[in-house]
Amino acid sequence: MKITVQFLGQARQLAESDRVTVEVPEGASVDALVPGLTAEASERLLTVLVEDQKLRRSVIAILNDEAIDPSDQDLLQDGDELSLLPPMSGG
Amino acid sequence: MELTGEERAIYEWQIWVDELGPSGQERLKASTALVTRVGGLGGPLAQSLAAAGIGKLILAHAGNTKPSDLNRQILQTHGQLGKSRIESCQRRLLDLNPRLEVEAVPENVHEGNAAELVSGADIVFDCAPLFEERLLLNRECVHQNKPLIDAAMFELEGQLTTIIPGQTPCLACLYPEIPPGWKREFPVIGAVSATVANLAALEGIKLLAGFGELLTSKLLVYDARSMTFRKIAIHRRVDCAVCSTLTPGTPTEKDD
Repeated sequence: MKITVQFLGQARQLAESDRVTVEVPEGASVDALVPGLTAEASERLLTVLVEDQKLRRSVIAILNDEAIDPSDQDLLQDGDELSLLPPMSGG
Repeated sequence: MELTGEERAIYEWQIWVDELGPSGQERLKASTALVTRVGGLGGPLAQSLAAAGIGKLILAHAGNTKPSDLNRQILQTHGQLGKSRIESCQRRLLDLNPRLEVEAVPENVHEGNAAELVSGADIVFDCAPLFEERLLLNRECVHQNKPLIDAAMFELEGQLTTIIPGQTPCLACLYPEIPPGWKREFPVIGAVSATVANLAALEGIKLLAGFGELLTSKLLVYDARSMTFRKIAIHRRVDCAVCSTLTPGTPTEKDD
């Protein structure tokens, strides 16, 4: 299935495009998207988003306006748009 | 806390808002808010709370005004460059509302002052750029069972949530670690931080006055590029190191 990944906040600034499309098997979790992202992303973007080949715990994965557990399987459907929101702060 | 004739005249237009009314205005007058860092977020936020008639502000911010503050820190001025930020905040807020009580603390939040700062407030607004400060303030609010409005921004985006300890996710549920590579200085336009600041002020006014629907267990995500606002459902983390043992209405024992 094809999942569109939208980058928000700092990830958007570090990514070459605000969206990429990643292909994963049926039933894949958000964590399973990471290898597909790794192939396209810069080292700085990966530092923000990825740890131990999984989505970093401080990155919020948003599907249909809900934060989801990146390890949950069977949430993603073909054609979904998933947003990844790294931390932002005040100042 | 009863309103004076002068206060009824000054707040007349907002008392006409049915949900607020005279009783909500009285509750604002009786309230104390802590704003930590009074910069691009905390400055316009404190200004809106002062204009709305909150009774007391505790403001915590260290350092002197720099040229790069002036695009967004609207309580600072050119004449204040090189001088104390917090002094300017206090003076300008009292110009706006001389009935306001201001406790100006020329320090940022740290382990040594967090508990005392939080204990004096009915509500806390977290406007700091460093995650160490934000997570410390969150921990203290959870320990003392105080509501925390957390606001943040980056470039043309902002976000906001209202944390009620034991009921909603806390900041450590969202960010269980200090994000790697986060820099204190980051891109932002002042109008973006002021937008998020005023939304945060509205959350606080609603919470203190007791009306409206709050951003509890919701993260408001704002993108000024497309002028879109999304409300994201967020969840408590079962393994949260700060709030996972907390049930509604039961402050934790201090463990430090």
